[in-house]
Amino acid sequence: MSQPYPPKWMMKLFHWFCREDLYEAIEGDLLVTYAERRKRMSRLRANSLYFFNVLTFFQPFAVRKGRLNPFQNSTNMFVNHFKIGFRVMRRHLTYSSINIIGLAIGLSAVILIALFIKDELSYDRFHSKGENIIRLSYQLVTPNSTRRAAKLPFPVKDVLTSEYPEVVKVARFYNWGGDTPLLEYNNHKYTEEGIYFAETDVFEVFDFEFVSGNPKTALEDPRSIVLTEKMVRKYFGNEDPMGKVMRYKNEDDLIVTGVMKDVPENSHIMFDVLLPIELQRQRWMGWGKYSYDLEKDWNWAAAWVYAYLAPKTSLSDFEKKIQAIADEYLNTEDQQGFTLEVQPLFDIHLKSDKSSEARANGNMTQIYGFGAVAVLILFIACINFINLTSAQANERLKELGLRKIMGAEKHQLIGQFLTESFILISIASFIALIISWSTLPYFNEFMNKKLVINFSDVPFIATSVGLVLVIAMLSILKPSLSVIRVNTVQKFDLNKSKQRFNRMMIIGQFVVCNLLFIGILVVNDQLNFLRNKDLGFDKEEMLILRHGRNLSKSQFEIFEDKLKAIPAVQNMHRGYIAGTSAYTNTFKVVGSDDEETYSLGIKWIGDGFTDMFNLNVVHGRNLDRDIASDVKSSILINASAAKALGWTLEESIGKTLSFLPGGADEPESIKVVGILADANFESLYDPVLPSVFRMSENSVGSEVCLKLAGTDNLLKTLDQIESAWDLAIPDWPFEFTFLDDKIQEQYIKEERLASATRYFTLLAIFIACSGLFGLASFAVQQRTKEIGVRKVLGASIHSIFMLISKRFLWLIGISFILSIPAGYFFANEWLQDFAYRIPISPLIFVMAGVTSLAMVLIAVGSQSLRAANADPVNTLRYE
Amino acid sequence: MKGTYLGEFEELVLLTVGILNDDAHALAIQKELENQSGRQPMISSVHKVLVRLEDKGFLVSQMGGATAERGGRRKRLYEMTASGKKALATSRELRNKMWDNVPQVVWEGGKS
Repeated sequence: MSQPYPPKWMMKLFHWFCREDLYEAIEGDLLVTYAERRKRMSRLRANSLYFFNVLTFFQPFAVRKGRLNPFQNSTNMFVNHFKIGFRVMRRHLTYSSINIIGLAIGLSAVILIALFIKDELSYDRFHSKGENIIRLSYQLVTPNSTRRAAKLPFPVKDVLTSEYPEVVKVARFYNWGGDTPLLEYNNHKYTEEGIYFAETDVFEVFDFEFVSGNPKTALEDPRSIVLTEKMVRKYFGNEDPMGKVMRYKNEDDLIVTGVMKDVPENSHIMFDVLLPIELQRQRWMGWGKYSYDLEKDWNWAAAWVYAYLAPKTSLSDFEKKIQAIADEYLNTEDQQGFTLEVQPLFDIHLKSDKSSEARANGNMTQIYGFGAVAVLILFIACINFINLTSAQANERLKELGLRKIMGAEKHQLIGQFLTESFILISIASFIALIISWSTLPYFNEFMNKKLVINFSDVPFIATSVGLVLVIAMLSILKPSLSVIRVNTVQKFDLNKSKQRFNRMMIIGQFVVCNLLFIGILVVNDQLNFLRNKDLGFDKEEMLILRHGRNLSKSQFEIFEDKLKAIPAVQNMHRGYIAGTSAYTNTFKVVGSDDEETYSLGIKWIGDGFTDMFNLNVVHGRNLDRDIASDVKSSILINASAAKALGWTLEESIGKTLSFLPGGADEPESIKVVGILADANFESLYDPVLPSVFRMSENSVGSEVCLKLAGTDNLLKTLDQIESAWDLAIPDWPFEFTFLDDKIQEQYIKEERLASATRYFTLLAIFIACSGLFGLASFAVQQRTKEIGVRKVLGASIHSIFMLISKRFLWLIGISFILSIPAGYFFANEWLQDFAYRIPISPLIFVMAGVTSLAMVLIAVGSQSLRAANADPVNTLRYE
Repeated sequence: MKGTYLGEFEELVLLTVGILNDDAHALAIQKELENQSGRQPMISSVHKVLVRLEDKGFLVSQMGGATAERGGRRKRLYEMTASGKKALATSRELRNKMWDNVPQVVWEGGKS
């Protein structure tokens, strides 16, 4: 075998740094060792050992002169830059602190927003098979509406697993909002919104962690229950829950077969308790007494259906294939227009916007919005940094000149600027960490999140450090270029170009500030409008009580009697509660030629619905319990429904519609007897939903609504209602909400957006103004003598004030004008989401303009006034 | 003064140069040290000490003995100088003297 050699580059590297007189002998030694090693071990190992050997020679004794020395020199210079940097910082304490505080606040806002965005993007990523998990859902297109819902009927599972080989497993969740899930153990008795129904396959598809129990069997028995640790603490404290018996809805005894870790916050589906779907099925079959089988019901889309697909399945092909399911089972003669949709698991949280999602979703707009705000704030803070640094650099031309004369090279001067901005940025980053760490709890509260700053999160920390480096580079780019280009010997004239640049930066800053400000005003106005808009029905002083659906009528009558004795309770209503969500169904007009179907809301109302919520019958008559046909087949429709059906109010009376009620086999015909005035029962995102109102036959519903006479003695009234409740319905806990709170919840997303933009805008304006303050005081300082001379020659305070403020005011004016069209555009885009929205009034722009003007006057004016009032004797005394 | 002091490792290397006599180059020294003392210094440490000893004047070197297995690179062959020998002798004397000054009772382990 010929002599083996290590890779060329290693030898070159060694040659590059090693002293010439030692080089040959050392390399000879290394080559001998290398050749020996090659006989004993792999090439890779020998190479890396060789490389290591080479590195061990990177020591002063073996390194060629001029290879280590430049480093040594820069170490010295670095120490010097550091020292000078600190001195400069101390000398210009105001500017440095403006710089640092502005940057720190900006960075902390960015940290918080980054945490938020990171959390939003991390949803469902903890499922190891997530890449191949999809959710199936349906879309229903009818002539007057498109409905996209996240749920599908239960039997879809069987079809998917038996007919589609690419489907490995199907897992279903189910949770029925209309239910009142009551759970009891040993006198602990609560309704649990977090009770979900699921099946064993859920644990095969998803990665929900078990603490005890076997995921493979935990949900096999219909009478089993799996709890999360949170629930174990709530019901069992320190007791071991396994094998204990809990009672569900006062009826079924379930054995605890498993304990799970709490579902991670960043999951699109959130539950506290899992029950087997089989339990629900059996309950509805009366454990074998009735024939209704939810596993065969194709009319009821109730389950979230997830499929774990074989790797490399093409989603679009799969979606095309499964349309066969829609055609075979969903589309019927009465109802055409169903298609199935496939959605990757990871898209659900941010990209899905369907009805009946498992949990309130985030959305990309919010991410982009917040991301933009973060970038803008960072932008403003950086501009401050740039402006103040370059203003300062102007002052230091003498020092730089001297350095150049002493032989400083360009890269050394840049190094100096870099060092100085690093000092500032490091301090700012440290303060930013403290600020964001201490404000995180508040941020969490209004964003409804549970974010933490995790210092062991390497990618996040690395990104942050990288960001800081980039800011440092960017912010010194301009000052270093302009200062370094200066010819030392000439009298420097930087002012022209620099100022043009500064001006552009200031305009940019204030355009952003104005935009944010316009943003707050628009969002606030719109929210006020939503909060105060007359919805067309009474929502104040309405109390909603929840109970089990299977409550007996007699129990209810006792409760009603007891309530009548309480003077503060004015009225009560069983059935649809105005302002809550309701079902939609498909209707046909009986006796019309076309076969058009209409999607209308259907609301099952009790007696006295119109009195209770103060609604008017504008045409025809109200429904009456005493008229037999009214109970059986009469309806009211709202004015919007009449319009959607193409009728005038007069025409509508006596018209007949037909529809297929849920669970029924035969369509039912119903006749319009009256028209209700439009009211916004649904959220104001959408126009009034065309709806029909039908009298509920005998159902008690799962909620009852009470109208209170006033809220003066609320606690006492609630006490009285509770004792009435406990007497009549002792086996259900007394739980209540207020209707107006419930309605307001629909706008929580907007409320959050509003409070977030409010805070961040204040920050942005603060940072921008502090920057202007710094620049103005620089300007004043530079022109101290000029102002002194002017005053001596008789200039008025007013003219000097204008001298300083004028150019800033100009800039603010320009940025205000620039921000108007952009602000109008964005506000308009945002408002498009709402069916009911405020007009964008010019007043908003005026207010934004006046406010930013006021802020600037405070920041710049104070400095100008100080200059104008200074005694020329003092300012001119030097020399 | 730098130049007179002889560190422990330096002393060992210097002795090894003596042992190897006419083939005293770094790699051989490293191997011999391993044979004699059982410890294996890094090749860079050996070179470092050789350079230092040469600076101190205890060694002189010359190039020679290129072979195929060295990739045609010559060895740097070291040879002790008079002052190197003297330094070794001084160091030995010093130890001997100090050994003699340790009371017999210490070796016998009378006190614990």
